[in-house]
Amino acid sequence: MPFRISQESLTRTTLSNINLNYKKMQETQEKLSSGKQINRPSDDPSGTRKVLGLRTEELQLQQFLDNTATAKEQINITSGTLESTEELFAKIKELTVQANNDTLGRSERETIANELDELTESVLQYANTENNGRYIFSGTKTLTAAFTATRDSSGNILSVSYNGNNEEIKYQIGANSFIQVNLPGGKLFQDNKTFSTLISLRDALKATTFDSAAFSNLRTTLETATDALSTEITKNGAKANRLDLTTYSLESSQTALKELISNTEDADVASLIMDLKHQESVLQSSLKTGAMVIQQTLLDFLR
Amino acid sequence: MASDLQIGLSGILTAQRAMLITSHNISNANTKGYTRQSSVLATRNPVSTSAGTLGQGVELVKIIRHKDDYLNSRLRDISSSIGSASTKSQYLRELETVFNETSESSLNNALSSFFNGINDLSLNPENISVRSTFLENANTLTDTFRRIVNELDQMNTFIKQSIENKLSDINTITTNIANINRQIAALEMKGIESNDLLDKREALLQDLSKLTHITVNKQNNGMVDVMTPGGALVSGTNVKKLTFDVDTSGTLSITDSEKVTKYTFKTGEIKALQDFYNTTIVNYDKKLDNLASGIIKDVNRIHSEGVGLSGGFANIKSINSVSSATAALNAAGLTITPSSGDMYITVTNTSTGEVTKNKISVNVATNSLTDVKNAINSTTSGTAGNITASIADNKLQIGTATGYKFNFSYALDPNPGTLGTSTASVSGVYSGQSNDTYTFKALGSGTIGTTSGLQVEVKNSSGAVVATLDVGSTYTAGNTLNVPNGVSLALSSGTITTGDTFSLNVISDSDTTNLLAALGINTFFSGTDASNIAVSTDVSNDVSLIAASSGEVGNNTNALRLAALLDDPSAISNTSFADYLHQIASALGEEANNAYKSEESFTAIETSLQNRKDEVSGVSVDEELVNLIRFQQAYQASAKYISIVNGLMDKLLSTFG
Repeated sequence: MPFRISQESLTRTTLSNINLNYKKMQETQEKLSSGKQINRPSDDPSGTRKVLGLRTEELQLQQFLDNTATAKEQINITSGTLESTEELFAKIKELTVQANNDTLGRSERETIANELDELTESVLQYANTENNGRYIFSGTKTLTAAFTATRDSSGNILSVSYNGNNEEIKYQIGANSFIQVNLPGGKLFQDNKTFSTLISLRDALKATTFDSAAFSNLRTTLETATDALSTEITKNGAKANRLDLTTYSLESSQTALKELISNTEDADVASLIMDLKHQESVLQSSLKTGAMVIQQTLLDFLR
Repeated sequence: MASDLQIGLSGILTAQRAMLITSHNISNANTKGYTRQSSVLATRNPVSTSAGTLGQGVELVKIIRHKDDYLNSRLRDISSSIGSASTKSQYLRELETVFNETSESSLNNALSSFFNGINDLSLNPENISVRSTFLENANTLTDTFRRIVNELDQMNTFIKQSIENKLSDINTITTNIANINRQIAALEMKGIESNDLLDKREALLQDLSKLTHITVNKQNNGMVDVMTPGGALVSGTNVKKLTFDVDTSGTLSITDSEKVTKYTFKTGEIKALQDFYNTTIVNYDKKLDNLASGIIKDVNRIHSEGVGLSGGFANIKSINSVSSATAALNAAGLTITPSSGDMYITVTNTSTGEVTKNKISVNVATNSLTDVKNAINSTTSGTAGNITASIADNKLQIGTATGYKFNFSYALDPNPGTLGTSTASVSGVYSGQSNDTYTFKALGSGTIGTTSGLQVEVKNSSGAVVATLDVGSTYTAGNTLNVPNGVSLALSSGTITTGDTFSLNVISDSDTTNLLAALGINTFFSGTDASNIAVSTDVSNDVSLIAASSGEVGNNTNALRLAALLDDPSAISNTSFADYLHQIASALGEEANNAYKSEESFTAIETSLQNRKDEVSGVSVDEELVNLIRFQQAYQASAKYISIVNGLMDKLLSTFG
């Protein structure tokens, strides 16, 4: 049997090749226009799983970054408040030094006592600092003012009580990595001991007879209270550093992840354009040869 | 002379017939399934003379149909395979669009947003707007699940319709084949070869194979039987009509019109549709259900032990009902089967803040919901009348007396008791693996914070020493001491005596039975699978119920526990939720990719087979033109011969006439 080529098979071959070329071009075109190598899972099944996994990881990293930023804000506010409170205590200390002088008269002590009263009010105000509607020193009872004062009829503080608890609030800043962002006032102000010391100091100054020994004892107690304060300031500074480091490492992991996602998922435009050009020329030649072959029959030459 | 004319006439007539066949070929050059025909010419019987046999001209003895049965049957097989592959590709492509995992609106993104929402909640558990945003994230997740399931359902309906249409196509084709069989057999009886009918039937068989794989058996009378693995579709002039049936388990099968005999097809469009309906969609549906029910179960398990903004409930009713209030809990028709263990109900006096922890032990093989109700009512708080459990509509209901609230938290009892005159206060979150009871015991006598060397020993329930705490001169009364596993203790000033003791329940899982999640008490999601997953109505109506805390409003312990679910490496089928989903997407991609590839390769095979068939059976117009010219010349020559014979005749007649 001689090798026969029918008209039908000529058209079929030409058409199927043209279709194949168009299909290839369409695939290249899709990748170019979306900018992505993977447009649906079947384009690269294992790449899809990788990209999806990386994307989940990337979103989680972004969340950790957000968490870290919020933690940083809280720590900063706490630090600021602690530093201002420490300044108040420095002033209070100065006043007590001034007051612990036998040569002072009663009225002078009274003036100092009033000044101490004002400073205590300020300390109380700082102890009830709010951030975003949350009391930062109340433990987890964040919607309850940390400290409330009982006052006499003329508004002088008689006693201060702690309403918060000692529970920690932790934020997640990495896989299995947490940071405590709050500082329960119970620890910081030793329940209400710091305040009761301040009140006792004031009362001692107001007393008709000044008990210098008792006053000295109170000053020592106050000293321990301020020690606790500066310890916490240092701790907070360390926390802020840790958060900065965390942010840095999270950001660099994120950059690396993004690059990895882009390597797997993004289209290589230059090589795709080369492909497209090549496919275009193949398509054109198949169209041209098709037109030539299909048109001609023996009839063209029979006269 | 007469025989001379006869020879000329045979030449003319034969050339004419041969040209007829050629022109039939040319005019059918583009007819689908047409098989090239050609003429077989032979000499007519010669006349014997003394000189030898004298030729008597030419005649057309046969019209041949150029066919190759092997190629035809290969083409039928391959067109069944293409039918399968192209149908599979088409629907997998649609399924890929439904899952849409590489796009922004994917389930993957919804899942990530859900967990990111939990994280945001852990940053601001008190904030109502953060809670509302989280609710929206959760709604997006549940909507996406339901959207996909819904689209799968729609695909199923469409596939069923499509099967119905294709079966009716089969019935039409087989009826036509049977009709042609009859006509062919009738002609065959008269000894006539019915070339064009054979072509027509071949084309029908080809169309039929696209729908389902068939074997064709030729009979002696020219008829063909069409067989499938399930039985004959056409035998001679008889046709088996097909229809389909969906059984109670939802499996679609192809049957005869009486729905008695089941037909199993090997390949072809219908087989692919049937597989898609019975296996592929069911498979992806099941995987989605697994994922959704895993998320529902884990989130609810953790959520049910948490506490919303109000710190507790005055009244709560379970969402899910048991089949019978007296049936054992592991056989009471609950979607999540509870297990034996302990459940804690914490009752708080809202005015004094006094906390009572009530432990309820449940054996799911013997206890019924009624037993649980009775157990709650006979706890310390139950006996005191502070909480009351009841059953209505096979659902558990728990309520409190005025001035009390309750929750199911694992938070530690902040005031577990006293040692001598010193009051103990506890804080922290127990991080141990299993629930335990710590016993605190004074090892000596003296004053807290004063007596040198004064110690308190902590033992766990198995009697092992967990910690020995110094509470003597190195300790300042009221300061916190670290007991291991996240628990902290502070003792107020006072005196203790050797042997003074109190105990503390340290709980990491306040419901080891999972009964709360099973019954739907204080749960976040309602529903059981991907088709009905939703945020529970209570939570949707009041976002303050979202249990981010294990106690106070600013507590985020439970939110952190929920957030940790995303990373749980054994959440579902030994992998994390996200990875399980990624596996689904990648498996679908793999399946689709394979289908596209096999469609391509089958199509390539078909094209080459078609070309091979055309080498034998196809019409080459050029070839036919050559033949046409050949026969035209033969005709002209024969005509010339007749005219010469005619001339001779004239000459003869005029000479002798």
